Amino acid sequence: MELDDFKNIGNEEIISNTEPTELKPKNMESFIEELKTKDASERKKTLIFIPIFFVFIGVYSASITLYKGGMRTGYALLILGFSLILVYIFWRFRRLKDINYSAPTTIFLRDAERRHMFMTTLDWLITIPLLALLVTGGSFIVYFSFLRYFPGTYVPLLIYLCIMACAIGVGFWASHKDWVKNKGWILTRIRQMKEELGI
Amino acid sequence: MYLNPVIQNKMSKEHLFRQAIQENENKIFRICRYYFTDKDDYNDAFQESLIRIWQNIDSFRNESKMSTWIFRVVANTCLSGLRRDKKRKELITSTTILENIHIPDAEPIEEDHHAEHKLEFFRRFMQHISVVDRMLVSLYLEELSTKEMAEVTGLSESNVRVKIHRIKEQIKKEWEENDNGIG
Repeated sequence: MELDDFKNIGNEEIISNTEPTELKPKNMESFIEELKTKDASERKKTLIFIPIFFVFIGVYSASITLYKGGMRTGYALLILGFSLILVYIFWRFRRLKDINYSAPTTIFLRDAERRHMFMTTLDWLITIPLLALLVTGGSFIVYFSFLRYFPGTYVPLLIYLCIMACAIGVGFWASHKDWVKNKGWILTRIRQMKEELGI
Repeated sequence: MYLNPVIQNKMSKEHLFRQAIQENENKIFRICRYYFTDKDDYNDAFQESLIRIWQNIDSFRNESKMSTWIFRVVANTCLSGLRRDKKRKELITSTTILENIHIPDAEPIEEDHHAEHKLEFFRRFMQHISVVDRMLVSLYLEELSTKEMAEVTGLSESNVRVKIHRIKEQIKKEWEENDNGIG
């Protein structure tokens, strides 16, 4: 028995006995309409980032005028950091959406692997400077806020840095745990498929 | 009549989609059935494949045959479906295929028995081969050429030939070990 002998099983017999699919010409129009609606909804989801971004920038830029000196620098760094984070989130969102299903399976799996990784090298390269920017901004604010109560000491700043280090550590740990639970097994299966393909 | 390029583009997308589906609807449905056993699963995969074709049809550049391009989208969609649902472990192995294959009543009983045995064997074979091998078998049974299979999978033609050869050897060996088809 050869593989070709199963062509009838896998092909003709299944077709001849397959119930008609629902996508007949009369349904085609409504299906295309549904697809168009879906497209429009996807576009809206993407565009919603833009007003959020501008509202955020507007509010913080207005509040920055209330401060001077080091405090002002701190808030400016925070605004810059949060703005870049918004851009980064938007970019990641787009990256997740732009899946090329028409690519050959080897490329599709390679891209899928990259998408489902917890953090890629590029993500680390972006995230670390962004966090550094935010922590620096916060450090300015903390230092200058406590300067009048504890002049000449860095203790409040050190406490702040310790708290931030813990918060970032816990944040990464929690998100990694969540990733392992929800996405880790997907990555394992993708890698398994890649191995099966010999890539 | 002058048409705005955006409208023209939308029209051509719709036209291309309509044409692609009308010409390949059965193939798409069949591929989904190779991957999934449960009716809801293969219907979902079929529906999702159509959505993916719609979303990606702009990237179709006539560099390959439309059917090959569609096979790529459908194969990748089915693989995604397999990844998403941990429960979808059985592929082309449930009784749904068996139930849907018509064995004519007029045929002699021995032939019926042989066809059933053949089908049962095929189901078991598909159950234990890898997902990638299942994909290759489905493409092979759809009578794609080695070149087309290479285009769908991204493997080299020689690699595809080697893999198909191994699958052929494996199925032959297992068939021989399996009571020589006597049942």
